[in-house]
Amino acid sequence: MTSEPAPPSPSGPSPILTLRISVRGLYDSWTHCQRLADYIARFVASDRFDPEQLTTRLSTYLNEVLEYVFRARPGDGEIVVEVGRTDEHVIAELTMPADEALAARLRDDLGRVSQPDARARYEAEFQAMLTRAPAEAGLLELVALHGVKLGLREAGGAGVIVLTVPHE
Amino acid sequence: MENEQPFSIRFHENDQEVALAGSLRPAGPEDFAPVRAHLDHAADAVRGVLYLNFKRLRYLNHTGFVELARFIAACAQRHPALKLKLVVSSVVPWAPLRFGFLGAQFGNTIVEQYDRAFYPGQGVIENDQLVPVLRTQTNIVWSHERELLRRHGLGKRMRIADICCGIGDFAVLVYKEFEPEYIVGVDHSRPFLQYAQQIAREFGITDIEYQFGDATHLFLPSNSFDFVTSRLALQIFNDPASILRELVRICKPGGRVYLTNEMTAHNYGYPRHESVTWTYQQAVKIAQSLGMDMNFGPKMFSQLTDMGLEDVRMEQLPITNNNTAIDDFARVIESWEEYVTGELSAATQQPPEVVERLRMGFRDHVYAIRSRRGFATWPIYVASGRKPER
Repeated sequence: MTSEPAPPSPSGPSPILTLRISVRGLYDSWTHCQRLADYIARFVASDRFDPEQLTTRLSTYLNEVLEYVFRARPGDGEIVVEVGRTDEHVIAELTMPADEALAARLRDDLGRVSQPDARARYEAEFQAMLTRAPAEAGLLELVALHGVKLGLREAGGAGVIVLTVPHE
Repeated sequence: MENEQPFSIRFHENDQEVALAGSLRPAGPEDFAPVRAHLDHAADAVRGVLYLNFKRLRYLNHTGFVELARFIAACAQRHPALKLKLVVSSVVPWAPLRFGFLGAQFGNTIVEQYDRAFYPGQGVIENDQLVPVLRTQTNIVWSHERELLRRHGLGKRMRIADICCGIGDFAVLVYKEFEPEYIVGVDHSRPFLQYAQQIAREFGITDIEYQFGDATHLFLPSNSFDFVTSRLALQIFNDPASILRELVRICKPGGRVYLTNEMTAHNYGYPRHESVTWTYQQAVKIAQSLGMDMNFGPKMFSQLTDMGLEDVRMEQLPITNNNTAIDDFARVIESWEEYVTGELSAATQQPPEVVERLRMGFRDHVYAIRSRRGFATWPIYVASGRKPER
């Protein structure tokens, strides 16, 4: 099932980095989300024009996805982060173990986030978020305000969140 | 480059400002509570406007963003007369998007992107039409500066930062001549940086890093460069000390901060020297009314000394029409004529007769440059100082 496929790339992204971390390892500390996001972003941006700007953007987006995963609490297993690049985009795929309940939740959340009216929805729901922000609020903001694309793929007991970020 | 800063929040009561810096990524409201306490305290302590300075806040997660919005909403209830001014920088790419959104949501909030107009003449100075002029200037200056840089402490395999690097050609020349271990150029003009990157690519240079940045709030780590340069830049900012502080901050103890700036009023051209002198003195006054100090050059010695630097060295580049390519020199002056009689005169509403007299002075300078019997100068001062070991 795919809520919103990543944009097609004629030759697919060139791989840059693959990281495997245990779900338990991530849960050890909330700050692991930002450490991981910063590390990946700095690595990916290192050979680009203005690496500091790209690092800041990538880290901001990856951190939001990792915080979502942290809160979603997937079952034991591994989280795999694979990052590649096309001419236009950096594409990060974050694979996590997903039982039926988590898969349904991912489908719901990513489905809501990936609608074309994300901006209007974010604006309409923002005041309500001040009372209680839904789990996917950070992801919705990425799509609504930052022009990032988010998609979901499911494969054999795993959920794959696909983050597509323009270079500039 | 490792560059992460811890989160900090400071309330400057005199300025009615809360400055947030570093990375703010709370897990939830409890995590944010100390920040909220600071913000509430500041809102209770001020009247009129509370400034929230986000210029150095590099990371903010959505949870933190929502918590800030909660604070703004609470302020509207508790302090209905209080305005919140959110000061953001385009150097942090997410900031104008997020805070612009907040500004539209809350009536008590104003968003100021401070680097949209943060120094006089920015529109012209960051414009890509200046590229040929800047290249010509560098060609002229480099021929004199190349050897002099060694006297000011630049050596091989150093870590170098070129702040306000413009089109990056100085960085390229330094790269070729001095083979630095690492060199980064920072500028606030995207067209200049794109040009810099293009040139580096064409020359097959991949080791120069270029950053979009604000010289008064650099995202570069403290004490990390052997040689920090800022050339022909401090003179166009209305607060050069704020840049100088940053240059000193990123310089390693024992490293050197190196500056060049002009003494525009001393531009000279003979035989029509009275006309030339009048024009440059007038140009200095016009620039001064916009906050620029085009006579900043000779003041560098005291500025570097006041910043606590040691072994301050200062000299003048001997640029004259006797030792410089005539056409290049003339082109630089013609570009000044265009800038001063166009953009600067319009901005300061100069009367037509003044504009005409200004124009004549520049043309007389060019005449002096090109004349077989003429003599013309362009005074640029060079200064450097060493950051104390401790």
